[in-house]
Amino acid sequence: MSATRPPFSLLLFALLGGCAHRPSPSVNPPPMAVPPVAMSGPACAALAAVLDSLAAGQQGEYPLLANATNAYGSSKYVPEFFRRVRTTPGLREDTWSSFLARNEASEQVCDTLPGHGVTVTTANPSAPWAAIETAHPKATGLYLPSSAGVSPDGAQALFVVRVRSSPCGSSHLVALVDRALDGRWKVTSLFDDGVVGDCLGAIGKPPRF
Amino acid sequence: MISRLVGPRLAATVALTCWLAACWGETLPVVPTLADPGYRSLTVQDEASLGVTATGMMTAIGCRPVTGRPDSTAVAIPLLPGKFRMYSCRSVARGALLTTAKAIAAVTARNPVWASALSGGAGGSPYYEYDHTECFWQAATPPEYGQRINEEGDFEVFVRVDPVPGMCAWVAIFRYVVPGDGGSPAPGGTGGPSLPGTPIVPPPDPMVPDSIWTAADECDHLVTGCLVKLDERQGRYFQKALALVETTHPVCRAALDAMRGALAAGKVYIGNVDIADGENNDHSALTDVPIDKTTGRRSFVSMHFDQDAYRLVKERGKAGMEAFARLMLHEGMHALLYVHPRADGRSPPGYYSTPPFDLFNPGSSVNGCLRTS
Repeated sequence: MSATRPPFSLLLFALLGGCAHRPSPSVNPPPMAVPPVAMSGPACAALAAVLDSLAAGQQGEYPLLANATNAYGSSKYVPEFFRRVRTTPGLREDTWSSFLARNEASEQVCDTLPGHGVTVTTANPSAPWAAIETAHPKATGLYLPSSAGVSPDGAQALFVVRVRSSPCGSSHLVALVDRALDGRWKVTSLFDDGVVGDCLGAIGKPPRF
Repeated sequence: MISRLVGPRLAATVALTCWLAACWGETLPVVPTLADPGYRSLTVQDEASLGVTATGMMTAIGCRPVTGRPDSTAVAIPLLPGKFRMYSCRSVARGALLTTAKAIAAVTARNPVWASALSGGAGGSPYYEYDHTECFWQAATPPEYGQRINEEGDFEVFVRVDPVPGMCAWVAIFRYVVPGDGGSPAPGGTGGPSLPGTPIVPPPDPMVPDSIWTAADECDHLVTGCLVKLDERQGRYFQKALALVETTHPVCRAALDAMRGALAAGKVYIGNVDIADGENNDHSALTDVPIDKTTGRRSFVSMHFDQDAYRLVKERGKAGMEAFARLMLHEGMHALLYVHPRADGRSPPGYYSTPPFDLFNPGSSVNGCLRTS
């Protein structure tokens, strides 16, 4: 009877499933690291359409762009955030799947925006806010795009753009972009997700007016 | 018969040990859920008490630590890289053994920094400072060392000084101290456990939280943008700060109720990737009040506080606690869906001109939201 039973060690590994459950390594690059992968192709064209929409809705300089994407690892946001993005009207399932897959790691933002014709200024998103303000005094904020989720047929793209507009806190824009029959990318929806950031100031010290 | 038992046991020992070493040896921190065994031990900060944690968890399922030379049936549980503790687990169900081993692995993975670097391998910990000597009533000899959550909800480590089974056992209590802030001097000035005698219990300062940022510390040890759900103990300190609020003004009362509601609903977090760090006094908080894409209406989802702010609360004592209370009232109004322009609060930092947020500014003439005495 006992000869027919598998060894306990085998049962043990069967129960544990080997190392299949092992947590994956961190996807967050060091602050100053240059991401090894660069955004390209339709993602860049779609991003250009998003930036144009943002520029049309604001005064001042063209949006100051981060030089690397913000990887939306799910561990860094409450689950409700992802549920909200997922429910973007018109968002296709395959686009969403692509978004999740592409945002496991940061990427370099496009060097050039195809067919754009506008010079895009970039900045290091890890720099202190004071340094960014000093270097780009006319900028209304620093725009950190996510990596693009692009549908397999190349007809739809999804971005989440984090906007740093003060030293404390930021907001999120969710942009869904569709490619028209003429091949041009057009923003289908662009909305502010609604996070409110607050400065606390120095605790216990009166401010200097 | 004996050989039939020893063989599988040996195989189990080797398999479990190899698996734990291979799969958990260098893993990233894994956050157990509240239901996981050992959750309350996540704040363990020294090697000795971590060993007690493992022993406590193993004992709970019927294992016992092996003293002396382990035999081939002993199960090795890795506590730190290269360091194991042996347990004898005869008649223990395999499922319970595996579950507990996983939980211990999660706890050890959760404490990656102090174990190897800060304690210097000596088993001591710079995180703990002698606080007082206390009498534990014990029916039997208490353990040599251990840990507890005290009545205030703080994590403490104790070391047995003079056990008297069936009566009072004197133990030295060590309190968690934030590294680098100097801490409070130990009674007697020696920094070490005193001899048994009259318990030395310093009067508590209700305004000075002494360990609310244990999770926040772990945030610092992880990556920028950590996200930690406020635990029960930290929540009590938030409530302690809120006790400073004067509720005569209806807006103050509304903000207080909103903040308490957020705490009760488990919607308060420490950290968020979007919260700037503490450089240049830009401590901040975020409240997530998204706009529904269909109706255009906002709803309150979550609240996030900068972990660095808690250290300043500690350093500044009551003034820090008051500032933190104001910040919570501010966020409480966001939870009620009041918003202000994004540019508000920047000049000077932390001052808001948009009602009702101007009620919570330090030194405001209408600052009726905090008690004056």
